[in-house]
Amino acid sequence: MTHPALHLDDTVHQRVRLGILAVLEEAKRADFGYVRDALDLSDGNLSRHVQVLEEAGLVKVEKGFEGRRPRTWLQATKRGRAALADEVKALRELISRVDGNG
Amino acid sequence: MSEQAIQMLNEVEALRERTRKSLRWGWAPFAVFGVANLLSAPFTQIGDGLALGIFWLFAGPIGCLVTMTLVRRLELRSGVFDRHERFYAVVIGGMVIAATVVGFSARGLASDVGPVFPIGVGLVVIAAFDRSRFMGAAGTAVIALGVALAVAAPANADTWAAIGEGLIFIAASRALWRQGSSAGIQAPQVGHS
Repeated sequence: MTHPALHLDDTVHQRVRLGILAVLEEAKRADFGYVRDALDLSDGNLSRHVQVLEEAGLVKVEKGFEGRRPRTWLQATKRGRAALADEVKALRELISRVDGNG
Repeated sequence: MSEQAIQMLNEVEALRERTRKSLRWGWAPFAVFGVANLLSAPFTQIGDGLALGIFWLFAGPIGCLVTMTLVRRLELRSGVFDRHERFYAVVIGGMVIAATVVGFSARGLASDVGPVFPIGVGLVVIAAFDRSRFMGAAGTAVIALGVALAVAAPANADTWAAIGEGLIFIAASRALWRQGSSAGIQAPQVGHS
């Protein structure tokens, strides 16, 4: 049996990126500003993390307009939702393993 | 390592909870169909139910359109769209179809009170899925109203059903509105880690 820490994905196992996926997991899509405020981030900081997730195929970014106002929508992909579920499972296994040894 | 893992899991749960709370638009359909139910009450007094049927033929689709427009505006304003829209649409569609079939196929008291039950059961199903105690209470109240009317069998049971259901919906809408307004839970400070 491998150690649960080996199941942690480097892309997802980062607090901000895990937070982004957690927000998007509950929504069909969320506005960039909503995610920024929910995670208490700056625009630039969120953009960097979203880019990492997008390049990994975990998040989809759509730009559009609502009237004249530009809006950026973020959406977790199927792979993104699965990656979050795997990360949560790995974290739980890690906790139960540490608690079991303690 | 374990403490960090626990903290990360807690943050994930807090963020999911916060997002779910941002999706609280449940008051909108209750408000629209609460008003529609109250407006339908006078039509229960006319003829043999045809007037009431015609009322719902127009009020049903218009109510759905108004609700969809309201929900869309609320989602745009909050910046987060519900991913379970399809589930809600299927359950609500099932409620409406079942209520219509019962209303038209049954006779007498069953026709007057019967449509209340699919509505109540549908609300309880949505409440269980959505973990919403107010919606669960509304569904239970609608079922209790149906049972009370079936047992008491008053004259104009359909009028009482329309008024009762309307008032329950308005009360549920108000409770859900207040819950949504006071749902500002603190976000975890992920950005300052």
